[in-house]
Amino acid sequence: MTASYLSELLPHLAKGALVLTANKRLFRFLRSRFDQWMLEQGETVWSSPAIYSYEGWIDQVVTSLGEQWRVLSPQQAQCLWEQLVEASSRQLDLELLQVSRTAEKAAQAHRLLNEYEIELDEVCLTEDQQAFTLWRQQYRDLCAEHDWLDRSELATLIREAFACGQLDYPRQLFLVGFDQLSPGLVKLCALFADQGGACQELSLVSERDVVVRHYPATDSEDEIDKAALWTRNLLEQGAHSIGIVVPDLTTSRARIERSFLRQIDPCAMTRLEQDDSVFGLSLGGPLAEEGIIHAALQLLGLGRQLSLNEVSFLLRTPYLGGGSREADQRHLLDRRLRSWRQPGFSLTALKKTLEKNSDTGGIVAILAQLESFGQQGKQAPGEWAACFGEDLKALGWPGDRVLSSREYQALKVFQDKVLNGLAALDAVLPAITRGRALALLQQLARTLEFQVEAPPSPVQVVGLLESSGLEFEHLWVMGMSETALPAAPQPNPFVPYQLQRDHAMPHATAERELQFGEQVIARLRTAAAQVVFSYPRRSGDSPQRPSPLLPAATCDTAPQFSAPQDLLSLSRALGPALEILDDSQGPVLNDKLVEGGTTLLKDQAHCPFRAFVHHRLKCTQLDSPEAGISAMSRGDLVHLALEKIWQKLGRRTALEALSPEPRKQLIAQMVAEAIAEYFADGSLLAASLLQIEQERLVNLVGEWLECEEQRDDFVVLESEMEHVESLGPLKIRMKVDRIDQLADGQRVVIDYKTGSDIDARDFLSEPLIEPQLPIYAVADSENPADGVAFARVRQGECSFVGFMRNEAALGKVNDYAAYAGKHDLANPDWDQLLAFWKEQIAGLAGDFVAGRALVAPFDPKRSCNYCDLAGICRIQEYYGELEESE
Amino acid sequence: MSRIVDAEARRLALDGSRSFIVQAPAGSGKTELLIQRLLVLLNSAERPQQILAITFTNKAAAEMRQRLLEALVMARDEPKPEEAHKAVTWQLARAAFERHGEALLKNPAQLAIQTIDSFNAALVRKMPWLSRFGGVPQVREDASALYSKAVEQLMGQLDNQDQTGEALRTLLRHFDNRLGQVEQMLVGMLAKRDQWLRYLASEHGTSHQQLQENLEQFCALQLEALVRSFPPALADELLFCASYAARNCPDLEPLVALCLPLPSGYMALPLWQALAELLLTASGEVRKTVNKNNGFPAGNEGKAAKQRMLELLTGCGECRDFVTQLAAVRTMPGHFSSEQWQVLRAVLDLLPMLLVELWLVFRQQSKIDFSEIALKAGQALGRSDNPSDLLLRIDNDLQHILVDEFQDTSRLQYSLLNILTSGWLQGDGRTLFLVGDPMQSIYRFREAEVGLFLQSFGGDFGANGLKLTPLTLQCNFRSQQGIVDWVNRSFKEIFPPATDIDSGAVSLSRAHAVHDPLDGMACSFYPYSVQDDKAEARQVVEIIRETRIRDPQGTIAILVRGRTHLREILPLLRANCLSYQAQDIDQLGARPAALDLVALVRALLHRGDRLAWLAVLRAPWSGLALNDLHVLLAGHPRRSVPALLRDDKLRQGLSPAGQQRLQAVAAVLLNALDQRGRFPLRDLIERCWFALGAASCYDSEGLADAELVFALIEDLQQGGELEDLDQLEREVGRLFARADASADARLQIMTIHKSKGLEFDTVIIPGLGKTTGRSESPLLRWLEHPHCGLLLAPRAASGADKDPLYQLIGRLEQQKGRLEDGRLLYVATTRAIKRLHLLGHATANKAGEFIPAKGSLLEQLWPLVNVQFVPSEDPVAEPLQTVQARLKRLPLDWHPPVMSGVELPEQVVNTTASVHGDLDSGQLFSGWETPLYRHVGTLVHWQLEQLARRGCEAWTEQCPKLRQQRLKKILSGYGTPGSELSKGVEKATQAVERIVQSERGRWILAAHTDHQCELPISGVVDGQLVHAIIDRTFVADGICWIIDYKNSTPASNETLETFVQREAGRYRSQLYAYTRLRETQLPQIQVRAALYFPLADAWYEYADF
Ligand code: SF4
Repeated sequence: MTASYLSELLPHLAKGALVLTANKRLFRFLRSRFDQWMLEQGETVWSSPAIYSYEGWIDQVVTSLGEQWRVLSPQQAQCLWEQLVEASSRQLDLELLQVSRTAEKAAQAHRLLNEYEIELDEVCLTEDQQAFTLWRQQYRDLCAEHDWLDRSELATLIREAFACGQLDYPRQLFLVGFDQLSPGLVKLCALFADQGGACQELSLVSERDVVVRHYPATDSEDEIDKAALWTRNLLEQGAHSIGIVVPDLTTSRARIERSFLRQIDPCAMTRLEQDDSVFGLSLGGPLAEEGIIHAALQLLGLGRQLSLNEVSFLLRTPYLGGGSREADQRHLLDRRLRSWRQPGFSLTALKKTLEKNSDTGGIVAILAQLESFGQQGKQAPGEWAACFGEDLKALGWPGDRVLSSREYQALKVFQDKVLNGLAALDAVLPAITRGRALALLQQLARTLEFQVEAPPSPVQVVGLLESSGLEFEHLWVMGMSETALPAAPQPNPFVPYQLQRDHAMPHATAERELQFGEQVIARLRTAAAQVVFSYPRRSGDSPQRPSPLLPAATCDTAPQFSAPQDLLSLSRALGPALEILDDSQGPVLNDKLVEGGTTLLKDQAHCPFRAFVHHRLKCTQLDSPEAGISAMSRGDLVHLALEKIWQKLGRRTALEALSPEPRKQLIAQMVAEAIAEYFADGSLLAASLLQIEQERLVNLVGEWLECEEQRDDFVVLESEMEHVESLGPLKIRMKVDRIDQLADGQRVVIDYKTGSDIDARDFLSEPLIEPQLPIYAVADSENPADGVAFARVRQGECSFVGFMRNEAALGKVNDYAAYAGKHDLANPDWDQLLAFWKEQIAGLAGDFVAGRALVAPFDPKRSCNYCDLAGICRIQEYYGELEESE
Repeated sequence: MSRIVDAEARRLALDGSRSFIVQAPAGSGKTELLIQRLLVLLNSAERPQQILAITFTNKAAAEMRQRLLEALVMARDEPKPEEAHKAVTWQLARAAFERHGEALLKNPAQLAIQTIDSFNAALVRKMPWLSRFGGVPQVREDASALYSKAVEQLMGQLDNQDQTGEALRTLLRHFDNRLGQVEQMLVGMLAKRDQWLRYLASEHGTSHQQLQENLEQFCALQLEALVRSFPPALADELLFCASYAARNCPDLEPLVALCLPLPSGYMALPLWQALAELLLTASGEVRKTVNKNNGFPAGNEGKAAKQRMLELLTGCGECRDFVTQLAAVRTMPGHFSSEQWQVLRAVLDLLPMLLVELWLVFRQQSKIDFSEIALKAGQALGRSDNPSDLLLRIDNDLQHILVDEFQDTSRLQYSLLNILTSGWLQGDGRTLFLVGDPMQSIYRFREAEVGLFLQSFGGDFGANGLKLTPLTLQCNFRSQQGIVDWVNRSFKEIFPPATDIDSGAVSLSRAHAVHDPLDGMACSFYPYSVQDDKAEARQVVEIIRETRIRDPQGTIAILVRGRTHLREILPLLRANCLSYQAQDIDQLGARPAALDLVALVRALLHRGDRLAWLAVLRAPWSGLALNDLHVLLAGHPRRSVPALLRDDKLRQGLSPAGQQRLQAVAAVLLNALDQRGRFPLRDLIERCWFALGAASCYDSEGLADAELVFALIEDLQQGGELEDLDQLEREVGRLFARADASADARLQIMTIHKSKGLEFDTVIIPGLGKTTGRSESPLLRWLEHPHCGLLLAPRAASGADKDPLYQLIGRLEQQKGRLEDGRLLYVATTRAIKRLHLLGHATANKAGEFIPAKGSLLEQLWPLVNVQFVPSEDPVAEPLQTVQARLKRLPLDWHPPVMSGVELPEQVVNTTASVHGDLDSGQLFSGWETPLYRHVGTLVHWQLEQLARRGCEAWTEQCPKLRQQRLKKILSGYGTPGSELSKGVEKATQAVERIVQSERGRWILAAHTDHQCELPISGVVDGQLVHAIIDRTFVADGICWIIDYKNSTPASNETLETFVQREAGRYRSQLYAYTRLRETQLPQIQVRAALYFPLADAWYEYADF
């Protein structure tokens, strides 16, 4: 298919004409067309034609002039601009939010002004433009000082070299695929023409017959899917040159790649091997997004203080020495660290903790390496590059897993382009800190396009600009909505707008964009024999119109689509294939003893399924860190402090005997001991937090002791006593906070509570959702307790809540019989309540042992709200079903 | 059809030379009016860009643009329509079209119809430096993560011995050392910083004195209102009774000073508080009687006084307004307590620090929130002396601004509009056109301030008093007369009688129906005398059924205030096969497909997340029974689940069916686990999910849910990982399932907020008796008062007494909230075209009186419907049912559907004759070595080319010093670290010297026959296409030589011999191809190929080609 402008161009190429293309892709396209043409003519060897991308040609010419070393690479130039912008930003009241974006725009403005050979005069500049003028002056001074050249000056340099005879004029020059000729190029052509050379810009618009179709898609997803199905249809018919043009390729790249893969090689969607797709578009993406590189950058960024997420990353990444070998142990270790609910760790403390662990030796070694990372001082970027390389090596990056070919390629690019790229900044940067070097490294890795090597594909997906000059058998142009073409103008803010308008600079005005749009459409319209233009009719929830520039359709029939072959569409058409069965019974617990705390029975009471999962299967969620001192720790501290105090005092009279000062001292001392003991392992908590907690606890405990002082005399019989209760094959291990003996000999079991959800009725519910105190109360059937009470230790709310056998035995705590009478309860007195408890506890234990695992929450609001299993038990769905079956 | 009563207002609004503010109630054809005005302005404007139309949402902007363009196209292509109002539009459009021609239609981007946010973004884009953004950063809709980060960083200074540390510690002390809560409070402050920022910025905006003054002024305002509400007729009596009581009761001492006129002003506060003491009981009701405690001792001499007092009380009792206000004044605080002030001071000290941290976070992440854009756009404009000059310079000479939905404008947006219009002069041709409906202001939670509309409606806009002509539209083109009448009647009761700017009270603006009434009831109310959601749901279904019979094609909407109000309704609709589209109703986080997917992600990312693994093994694609799970997991709490899955012995303990299930699933999972990092996370999960057969586990809604989660994963992933494991779950919890596009669009379900601007034939509003959420008690309450500035109050320390100022602000908030509730009901009910159905419950108190829940919409409606509530028999409480947990799973004999691929055509393979590194050697990373040798090689290579072209003299004749400098620069240009430059140059010089002096070197570089450098040549070798560039070739002694330069040097432990052999082998195929090409080209001449190693000065000739 030699069509249009090619038939004119190829013979000239054979005769040695110079062809400059707008981009590299077009260069490759033309070269391959030329090769094909040669082969068709039976040639086996020929001089490679003189086709170059304009940029590539400039580089070559400059090299042959021996001036290549003066040219600043784009990264170097960007780096210089950034430094200049940064320096003036530092003098601001508020530093610039995005230095590098600003530098980009400034560099772009500089380029524009150079290309158009415009000098700014000082008048009529906005503040932005004034700032820019200053940077530009500094930039030029720097260039002059070091003999550097900005790329935008090369066109002039080359022109002068031609003019003074350093270079030979080409006899014939063709320009292909330029949507707009830069002023430099225009002048160059004028020079050639002056010298009698033939210069010609080839028109890409041909007169041939083209079938144009429109496809209005529902939304952009539909648009991509349909393009994929259209492509599939063509491939099935044996087409071998299909083009897809996408205006916003960077944002939709991943979606396009996925959709095409799904339709054209549907089986690939269930394959997990990385290297064996038969079809790929290899559109590329930022190098930093490759797992292996991402890991490297993360690792280099670790400091002496690690957030929980960083620790977790370190323990879970496969790209670290031993990351595969020790994976299981490291992941379990992470689980353990999470259970401390700390938001972070210091490297040293972490290492100390992990040293005790025998099975994760690898990670300890790695932590030691991390500790030795050179943090201080300034060095040249190249020295940092070497240092980063060393660090990574020391950490065992990229891990002990065999690399896939993609990973290997990424690693090579990282070495060649990123680490080397950093070193190349030596020329323009002074010594810098590690942080700055790392930031530069990240920036390099983020801006670098990584494209995995792939066999050539019959389908090419290109952006709007890149598509220039390419020709296909079939072409689909996507995203042709009103907002895309003509685009809204985006003038450069650093160049006065009037200037941009006067010179019709790219993107300067709506008119300029319109002109550009019309040109693009005109060339796309004839870039293949069959062209489809599509646009989404909606974007989000907003309606969209087609671009007003769309060429009229020459054919009303819709494009041809294959039936979707991907798993998703096929499965959707078939519908779910599920069986439904009852499964709410686990195995009976027989021989083995299961040990558990009182939460076991509590869970069983709340919901048997929960008890089964938590205590039989031993599955609970990972813990999440809490800011400051966690609620749990605060509760524990109260327990600990009160335990210490009552150990000292033993009875109410002892408390009463203490005058205010010594009492205060006692409290302060015990609280301090409790805190010291509790956080003995060294925590990352700020000293002030602990200090304030100490003050708070002293107040709280003081208030609580006043509350206890009000009581009738009592003796503390036991405090924080371990108790084990056997219930069949079940052993319940629990700690009873306190047992008091009252003056009349009654015994009360007491549990300290610091939370807000305290309700005495929980002792009476069926199932019994507060079984802890009842278990103990009835443990000794000869000598049951005479009361159960929560000690509510809360600022301003200190009191006891519970039930007593007798009236007024413990402050305002209910006399059970009276309460039962008032509320008309089934168990009218204390003894019957004890019996009820016995029966409940036995029942709960029995159910647990029997493996009953019904999803039956005691009260969906209370039980399920803080339950970690809602995703598994499907409680929401299940209430929904209840409705349906009505 | 009745006539257009407001035709005059509509005509006036099209005067393109004047500024207007238009109240456009529901159904008044506001959009059409806006379009017409836009067309008028287009007709007069030089360039379309000079007109800015601001809409509330992107969707509204897109729709308005669409309608405008359609009007223009219609005017171009079609004849003038018959209908009057369409004809008006056509004519205006025709004129605009003729003015601007095709250019406008071809380039609609010139029409600046956009949201305020995107307008701000455009401003900021043009001021990268002035705005301090350096370009528009990514804007986060939900920026709470950024705020949290800033707060966290601030908290890092807790131990600092400076003001910041001290302030943080003060807060923690006051708030019970609850770091999390304090952090949350600060996060909340950051989210609303647009409201306090300018106070902080002004010199005394937040000083103790200023805040005290604010408070005093606020007291004074309250007292003024109180005085106004006092019935003047009772003034003398009050004076008498008060002074009488004051004489008899020391507590009422201040009342001695009472005189007429009744005092207002801050100083009068104690007086009024004493009066309240006198007149009101502790619970805030008017006293029924008085005694000596109140200053009216028993006994005869006091009898008359007491009698007068009782009459006074009765009189006061009749004036509800006065009583409520008096009760409010009783607890009104006059000043800040010292503890309160200490806490406030701490907060105020922290705010500037917090802003610093926030900016740092913005910088670190290059992300900001919408407020920041608005703030910076305003600041950048405001920094200029004359903003409109600046506008001109940034290429934006705005002539006309139109603002839609002006009632929902925030103060920040208002101030921006103010700046934009600040240079405008009356009658200079520039106009402002504000449209909205204060009755529909329902976005208080987004800082909408309805008072701004009310204030502007007075006729002045902004600081320099731009004159606006107020217009009110009255016609309702939407609803049938029955609905309009009902709305007029009801909202006369519901809306306050008078408009009040401060409290945002909006009174009713009556509508005139254009459509005639329909037969039958326009609005029906269904009372429930006890909360019975199921019964309401059944009624809703009933209404839908009946409506469908009467009006089969009509649209129906179920509107609710909160999503949770639908809990009973949705399942019932499904059960009755009523297909519906629900917008943002179903929380994604509660849907099975999403839950399973989240578990899969967690499991694959964390081997130790036992619960996630359990979920994955229990999910429908695996469906292991409890017994099997027990075998697998129970005995091994300390091993990771993947390790258990690999344990063959353990697996043999499973039931046979269980083994079979596990086999398939475990293979996929373990494989995926091994591939972590190699795919983008989304792809890894998606492939694993497909491989597990998950696509066959859900219906199409479930699959759509999964797609949403996948998209989210793609969004959150970084290099194949999630930064935070909990992040996905959190974000999924925030998303809603998408409306099922294939479902019946005639039945729509949405929140009232979403329904704004829409219309439906039938509207059903269930759950009116319900409230939303609980009232919160944040750590800090604050309020921006239009006249008094900022009022702030921290919550009292736990256990301490409630703080009166804190409670007062809470009450004010509540009051505003209640006013907005009324408007919300207005929005909901005015969506109806034909019928309206309202459902709600109230419960009876002990006395048998029905009382609607506080804060419910029913409370608003109460005066109109209370008579409909009659006690019913107690419903039988439905017992809570326990049902067997049911396991859904793929059956064992399930097979995936068969997919077919495509045969791809053979491609011609291009090769470039180059050599890859040892791709498959799999060597590990060995650090980074400086590429010095490579660069030296490149340099030498380039130098050789130069010498070959120009002759060796070019080297020898050059001044060594200059040469050195030059080489150094070139080498540095290649990216050689500075420290190695000298060494490199030395190496290169040595190499070149050696070549230039060696015989072979000179021979290579000599000007032989047909000598060329970098010869580009292409052709076919052994069936493969080759593109070659030959470093050096010439013909000498009848032999054509092909020489390729190689930069390598021997490894340290290698002899030159082995090195050369190794390299020769490596480049063999390359040189072979070159030789063949050259041979074909020069059939007469013998061709020989060699490698030349300039750095090692070695040579290898291929003798066997
Ligand atoms: S969420 Fe509710 S039903 Fe599900 S396991 Fe937990 S308690 Fe039971």
